[in-house]
Order: sequence, then structure tokens, then C-alpha cells
Amino acid sequence: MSDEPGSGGPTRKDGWSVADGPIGRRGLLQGLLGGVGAGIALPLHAGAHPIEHHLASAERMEKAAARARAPHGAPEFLDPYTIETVGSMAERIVPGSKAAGVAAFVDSLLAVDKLEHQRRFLNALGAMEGECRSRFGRPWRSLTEAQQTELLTAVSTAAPAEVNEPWTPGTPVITAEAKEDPVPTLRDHFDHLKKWIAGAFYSSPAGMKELGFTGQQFFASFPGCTHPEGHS
Amino acid sequence: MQVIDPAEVHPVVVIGSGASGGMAAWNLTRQGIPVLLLDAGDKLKRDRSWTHLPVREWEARIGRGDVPRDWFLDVKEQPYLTPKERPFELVRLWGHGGKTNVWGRVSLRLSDLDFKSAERDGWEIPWPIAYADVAPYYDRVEELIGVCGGDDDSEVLPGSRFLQPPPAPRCGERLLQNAAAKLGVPVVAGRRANMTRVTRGFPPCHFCGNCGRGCDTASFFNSAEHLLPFALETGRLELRSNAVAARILVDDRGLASGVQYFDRWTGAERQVRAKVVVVGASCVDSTRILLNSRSERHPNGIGNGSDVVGRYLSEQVRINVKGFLPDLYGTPRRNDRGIGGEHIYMPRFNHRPERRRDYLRGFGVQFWYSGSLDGTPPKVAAHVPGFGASLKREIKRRTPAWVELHPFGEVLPYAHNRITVDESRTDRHGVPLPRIDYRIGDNERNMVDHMCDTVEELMQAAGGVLVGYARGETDKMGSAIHEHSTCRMGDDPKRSALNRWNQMHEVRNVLVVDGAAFTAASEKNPTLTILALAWRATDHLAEEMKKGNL
Repeated sequence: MSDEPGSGGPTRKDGWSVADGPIGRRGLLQGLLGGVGAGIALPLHAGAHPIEHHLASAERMEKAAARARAPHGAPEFLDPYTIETVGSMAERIVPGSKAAGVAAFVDSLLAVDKLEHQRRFLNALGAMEGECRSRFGRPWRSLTEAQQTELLTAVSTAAPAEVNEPWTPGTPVITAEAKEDPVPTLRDHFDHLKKWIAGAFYSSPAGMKELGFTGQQFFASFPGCTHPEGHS
Repeated sequence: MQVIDPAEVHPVVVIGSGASGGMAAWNLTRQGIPVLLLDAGDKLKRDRSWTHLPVREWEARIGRGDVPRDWFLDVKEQPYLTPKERPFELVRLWGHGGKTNVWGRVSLRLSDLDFKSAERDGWEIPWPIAYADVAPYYDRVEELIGVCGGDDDSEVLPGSRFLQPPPAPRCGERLLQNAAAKLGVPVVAGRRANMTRVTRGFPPCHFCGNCGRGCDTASFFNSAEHLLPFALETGRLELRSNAVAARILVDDRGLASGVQYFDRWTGAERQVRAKVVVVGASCVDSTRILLNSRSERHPNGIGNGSDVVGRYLSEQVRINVKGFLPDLYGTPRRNDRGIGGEHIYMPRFNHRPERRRDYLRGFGVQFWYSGSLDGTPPKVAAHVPGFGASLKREIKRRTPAWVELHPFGEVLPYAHNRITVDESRTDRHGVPLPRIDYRIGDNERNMVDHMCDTVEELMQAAGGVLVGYARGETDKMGSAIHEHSTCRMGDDPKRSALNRWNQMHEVRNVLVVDGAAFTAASEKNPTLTILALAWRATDHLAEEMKKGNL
């Protein structure tokens, strides 16, 4: 197997390589992800966000969750300064992230991720830090709350490289081919980080509870839609 | 170390205990025929599944360092090979019941639209059987395992009087159903092997939505609990665990004489003798066993004089489209989940007049996660703009409005889509590894184009928006976990490996009863048909054995 996690084995002279195997080869889906057949629960295409891959892996999720419960443990991938930055940024993007240990959770997942995903994360974080310096001459952690808000407002409303989100009928359709390798804008970097953070928070017990999830239960019946008009 | 069982010759050795092997063992033993069943794994205990944990307990267990069950076979234990530029996801589950422990449970009958597809369009060989041949077995299987579904009946999806009441659609599903009606495309109740009433003593579904973890109460069919215990009760089943079948052995006449297997953990080699071998190890592993069973009489793998074994690998091509139905923004969220997966299904419709037909075969649409809390929040969060408290409010508001549309399409059987074995790369037991070379063609790309048209029109009719949508982007090859056709049945021995009774043309005492036997894939999930064909094949086998023909 290759040294690079998840990258599949080296290609031999005859063109065959040892396959990576399915996403989530450890199988069980954690937290909110137990519904359909386990192997098919997360149908992923090649361009899916890395957090979606991780959400399908029980092994990675358990390990990261344990790290999130002990956030003062040694970082596994990010350096201590960066992990603090991620934690601070996460709390501003999805409040509650600090208590849920999101930074340590993400760090733990990044530690076992593909090199390209690690790079993508660091590039996004670097772009955000670069914007902090460009606007205020200081790194994220030295910004005032108002400056952080100003920056997040700017990057979250900037134009993305891809304009297909959300797609509504009548608007141009982005094809899979065109979607490959767009040059990311600040907005894309922000969205990339946000997906990591939101995925980590809403798969944590705190995030799940916030959305009304109370655990795996037995029910006497399934009433279906009970809205008076029944959407007819 | 090699151990050969002494003189005992087993009437039937079955390889694999999932849908096909479990069915074979159950059906033969109840008809008085002793069976030795070899399974590559062990019994999978329920208490490792964490199916019904309150959040607090779940959290506590993680805190203690516990981990839930590791269902799937690790590629480090059993690697497989693919061309670097053509990855293929292969999901394997070794253990009693195989993949039926966590299967998707979608149970759709094939119809003559499927069985006679090659007769209509001329692509590759026709099935040697028609719907009428299988229909009685669909009835029996549905009655046995408990399938819920509606009262619809069409040329695509034949009706059945054995279906149990389906769960009501969720809000999002109802909106999609209404939208499809505007387009003139029927969306029917989903058919799933979830029992909605007491069936053979098993309690009905309790709607926890956790089927992907396995079911604590066995309220959906799985071979380990619905077939194997009943076969064991007959006293005619011997179940050997951790027996990794490697090769089918042959006698001087080229007939099967037994099976070589390795103990999964000790590596000890064993051989057992058999009058008949029934192969049901799941498509890829069954094919690997057949191709590795080389001998003087079968230099190309057992029963493979036609060179079709390993070829025509057919999976299904899928796209997964996600979005929101704004009509449902801010509606109350519910904790109840229904049965795991969607409660509705859009059967194939492209064959109907006025519909697009610039490709062969067709697709149906499934709707996992639509209108359900299950699995959605992290995905929803990724598609809501903004940050901070307003982001969280919006996530909460939009979560009930999440829908997913998931067309499944048939991939034509192509000779170049192929499983082979690599003599130069072996597993820990010295058995050559499987190589999988798989790709879709222009026909499938046209079909994907139509899938995209369909989901766009459907979302337009539903007033929805799509998120993260890239037209034409398909799921990874292999991810449907519906491998078929690498040991296909047919009437022509030069172009098929099995006859209409799943018996090898060249080796009449070897049957292959899993998805490998399908002549073509269809767009439908295969397990119901695998069960029906395995039942049918072993009925015939039992008759032949009783007549002394085998």
C-alpha cells in the first residue's frame, strides 16, 4: 500500500494497483447516519467534501470523537497555534463548536486524510489568514470580534468560483467536467472550512441534540406526514 | 498444513451464507438434503451494533473507547486490484448472513421488461427464463421474508398480493410524489423487506430508521436470522465458520468433487468432498473462486470453456442529487424516522410513449433521506450560506426540507467489464487476488443525461432547489453494491456459463446462485431476485438429486 493514507496502492508495471476499498470500510455509520443499508448510506462521488468521507467511517469518527472529548491532548496534524486558530474560527462560524471540541475533531480526521485533502484544508486556512493580514495587518487570533465579523461577512458573501449553488430551474447548469479543478476564491476557501466545521459540529451529540435528535428509539407506528393539508 | 476430511462425502457443499447461500442451505435442508455450509466469517452478534442507544449512552461508550461493529471486510485482509485510472468500490461482508445484515432492503420484482430486454434491443444474450418462471418464487420469497409495498401493478414493477402495508410517505416524499404526478410519472410506495406486521414470529418494524446498523429485533430479512436458524433446526445443516473457500476441486471427469478452503485465522488448508457444490459467495468472490479453480480439465477456471466467467460484470450507474423543498422550511422536526431509507419509489418510465429513448434499458429513482432527519444535518449545514447564530437558525429551519434523488440505471453487459485473477498477487493464503476492470460507456452516459433531465424537471415541479449539483457527476463505480452477470445464465453454452437452473453447462454438479448468475443487471436492486432464483435453482437441484440424476 502507498504511504499516503487512502490513496490506494502504487501502480505496478502492468497497470494494476491495490484498490482503496470502499469509503467507510470500517462500515458502521455513526450518529445520525444509520438509516439505509450501511454500505450504501453515503453515496459519494469523487468530488464529495472530505468530511462526507469521514462521516462514513466509524473508526475515524470514534477516534476523532474521543479526541474532541479531550481537546487539550496533543494535536495530531495541526500545530498548537493552528488548532487554536481553527477552534476560534469554528466558534465564530458555528457557535457551540468550542464546547463540542470541533477543532480537535477536525485535527484528528485530517491526520488520517489524504495528502490532497490536508493541503486543501491548509490552503483554505492560509487564504483566510492572508485575508486577515491584508485587511487588518494581523492574524485571525489577534483580530477584535468586530474585525472577525467584518471579515467573515465579506468572505461569506464573496463570489464563489462555481455559481451553481443552489441550482434552480432556469439557471445555467454546471457540468461535472466543468466543475473539476476550479480556482478557488476566498468564498470557496471559507465554504471549505465551514463544511469541515459544520460537519463536525452536527455529527456531535451537541449538534444532534440541537436539532431535536434524542437517540435511537422504538416507535409504535410511523404516522407519515401529519400536516393538515397533507401537501396535496 | 493440509487436512482432508476423511471419507465423508457431503451431498451438497454451499459456499456463502448470505441471501443466495442462505436460501440454498435453507431450501435444501428442509427438503431432507444434508448441507455443509462454508462461510468466510463468523456469527455477528447483535449487541455490537449499537442500534438503539440514547445519545447519552452513545456518548459514554465513545468516551470509554468502545467502538461499534466493524461490518465490512478490510481490504488489508483481502485486497483486490483495479486499474489505477478506473477505481471500483467493492464492499464485502464476511460473516453469517453476509451483506443481508445491513442491506438496503429495496425489494423490486424484475418483469419481462427486464427478462426480455435483450430480445427487444438485441444487446447481448437473452435471459433463458421469463417473468412467469420466477413469479411463483417471488410470491414465496415475499411471503417468507416479509416485504412491504403498495397495491401498484405495472409492466415495470409487477404487483403482488403478498406485500405488507407500506409506511406512509414523509412530507418531503409526498411533495416529490405530487411533483412527479404533474410530470405524468408515477411514484409508488417503496417496496422494502421491512416487515410491517408480525411475520413467522418476528416482530414488525419499530420505525427507528436504523436499519443500516442491522436490526436488534430482526424485523427486516437477513439470512443469519431468518434462514440459517431454521436450517440448523432440521439437523441437516453443518455450518463451518471462518472457512474461506478458495477453489472447487474436480475429479478425473471434470466434475466437482469438493472444495478447498482455508481457516481465516489459522491459515490451515482443508478440503471437503462433495457431490454437489453450490456457489453463493457474492458475485466477485464467487467469480474469483471459479476462476481460481483451474485444472487440467478446466484450464480457464471451472466451467469456463466459453470464457464468459468473469466477463460482463454489470453494476448500476447512479447519480445522487440533493436539495431543499422550500415549502418545508421551518416545519416541525420529528424524531421518528420510519423505515431506514425512502418510503417511495419511481419505477422506470423511459420505455413509455413520448419518453426519451436514445439509450437502451432504463433507470428508476430512489429517494434516500428525503424528508427525514436521518443522516441529513451535516449535509444540510454544508449548503446553508452565512455564519454564526443566523447560520444555525437557518440549518434548523432547512433540515426538514432536505431531499435526495437517486436514480439507479442499468449498465449494459460488456465483455470488457471483467473480473480476472492475478496469479502474481495472492492473499495471505496464497490464493490469487481478484482484479476488477470496469467502466461505463456511451449508452450509460446518455442514460445519465436523462437522469439529470428527470431530477431537474422533478425539482422544478416541486418548487425545489438543488445544492452541490454538477450535472453528469456519477457515484463511484461499484458503490451500488449490485455486482452481477460474471457467470451468466443462458441457453447457449458458448455464450453463457449456466443453464436456466443455475447449473454450469460444463459442470452439472456446480450451481452458482448469487448475482453472478444474472444475464443482465436491470435497474432494480437484485436481492429479491437472487432469493427467488436461488430458491428455484435449489428446488430443481433437490428434484434432480432425488431422481438420482446428480
